[in-house]
Amino acid sequence: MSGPVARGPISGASVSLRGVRKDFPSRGGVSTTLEAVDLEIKAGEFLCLLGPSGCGKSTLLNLIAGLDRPSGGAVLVNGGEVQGPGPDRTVMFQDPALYPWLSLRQNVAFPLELQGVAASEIGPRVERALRMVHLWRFADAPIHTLSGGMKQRGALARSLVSEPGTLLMDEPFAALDAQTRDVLYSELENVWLSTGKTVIFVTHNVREAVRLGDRIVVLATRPGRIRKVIEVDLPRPRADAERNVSLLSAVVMNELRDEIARVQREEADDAWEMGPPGGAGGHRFGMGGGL
Amino acid sequence: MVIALVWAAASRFVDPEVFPGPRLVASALYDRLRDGSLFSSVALSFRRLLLGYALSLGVGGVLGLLMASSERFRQATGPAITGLQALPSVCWLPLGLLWFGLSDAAILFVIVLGSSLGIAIAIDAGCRNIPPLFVRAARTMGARGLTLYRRVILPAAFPEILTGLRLAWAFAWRSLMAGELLFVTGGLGQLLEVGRELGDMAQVVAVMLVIVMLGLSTEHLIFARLQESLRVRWGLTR
Repeated sequence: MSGPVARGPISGASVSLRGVRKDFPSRGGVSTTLEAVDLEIKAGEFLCLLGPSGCGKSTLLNLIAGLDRPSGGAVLVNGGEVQGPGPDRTVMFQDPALYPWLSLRQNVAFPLELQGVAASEIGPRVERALRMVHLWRFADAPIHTLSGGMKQRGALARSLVSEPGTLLMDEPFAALDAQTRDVLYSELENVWLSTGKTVIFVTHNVREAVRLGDRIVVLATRPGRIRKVIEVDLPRPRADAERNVSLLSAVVMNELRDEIARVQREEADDAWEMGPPGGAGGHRFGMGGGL
Repeated sequence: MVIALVWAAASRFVDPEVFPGPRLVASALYDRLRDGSLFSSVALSFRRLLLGYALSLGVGGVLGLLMASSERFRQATGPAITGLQALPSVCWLPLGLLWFGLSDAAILFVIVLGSSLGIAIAIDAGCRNIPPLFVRAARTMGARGLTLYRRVILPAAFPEILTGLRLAWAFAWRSLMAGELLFVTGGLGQLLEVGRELGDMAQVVAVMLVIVMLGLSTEHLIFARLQESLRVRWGLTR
């Protein structure tokens, strides 16, 4: 991989959540997935939303993306309320969701075509985005010939090409093997350092959150709410700071232990025997994977 | 080859009036080729088929898109469409003849009713079976309404739609033959009927062979190729 990257100027947007609540209809009434979430995300910040399954972290991301509307409160991006999806907030999912009937180049060009960008401008912008994720050589490859990691880098290029202020990522690396993931951590960190975008990154993996985030927002479940905010004060790039990442991960893991145990009690049948806290149970949710 | 040999062998033991051998059939085919009736019949049948199929694409396409995009429309029309599917298309012929007379319009009517519903059902099912994430991703990139259908939903559903188009082609072909055979003048179906009236078994079998060959060649030249290129593109080949 390329060496350390200099921090570029900040081009990201600021995101504010003010008393955000989200209810979903459920058996015999409504269930509250998110309750009174207040959060200020600075322009250019790398923020990780961390929590066990069912804590509403993906729901929160959907609200910022504009795919869903809050039941109460407001989501503001650069001071303006979010009305719906927009090219200023692109989303990456766990599945790359590249379209198999298009080549990689056409996939990356797709959002620009939707926005009506001039054809003469699309070519160079696609090239720049693909070079940024080191995939330019594969521009004309059919999607199915790419590996899982390459597909996810392709999805990153497609997210970057619209030059969004905010990059929303919903467990984008969860389906990849550990080695590929480590490479992508570095690539994402470099892209973030050089472009200065705001990144909101959802994960259930503690080590991933510590490896990438400026700040980690730990969510609690039922209803989803902010439990703790942790500043990650490790130098960047963090590829070489594995030891520090591991140490801090253990600390964060401790914070989460009883939350995981609580989720497990609620999800398991009555007869199910709990293991030691954070032991087998930790694995079940993939918490602290790679520790 | 094997089939032809067995056929030749079997025909030696049976009255050629009832079961003509390959030689008789080949000479009947040659006669029809020479007097031009085979060619003009094929041309006429094909013109009707293409026109009917094109109409079916239009009708079925609109119906299918409406069903896929509006839950209310699907619920309102679903039972009717499934019910009509259960009715063999040739049953529409009497109605078509009453409405349009002994004309090409009656035949087109039968073809459209025979194949458009299958197309509509394939489009509806295809659009509903695509991965929801394809649509979510497209929405975050700003696609909505018709653009969403044109650029994402229909391409994603195309493999399934193609299967429907292929079946609809076969249905159109059958409806056409049934119509020509029963009432309408000209075309391969009528050539078949003339053979029956004259008791010319060789001609009957010759025309049947031509119909099979035409079906096989459109299948191989158009649909099989389209489907194969699609499978390669999507990486579905083993």
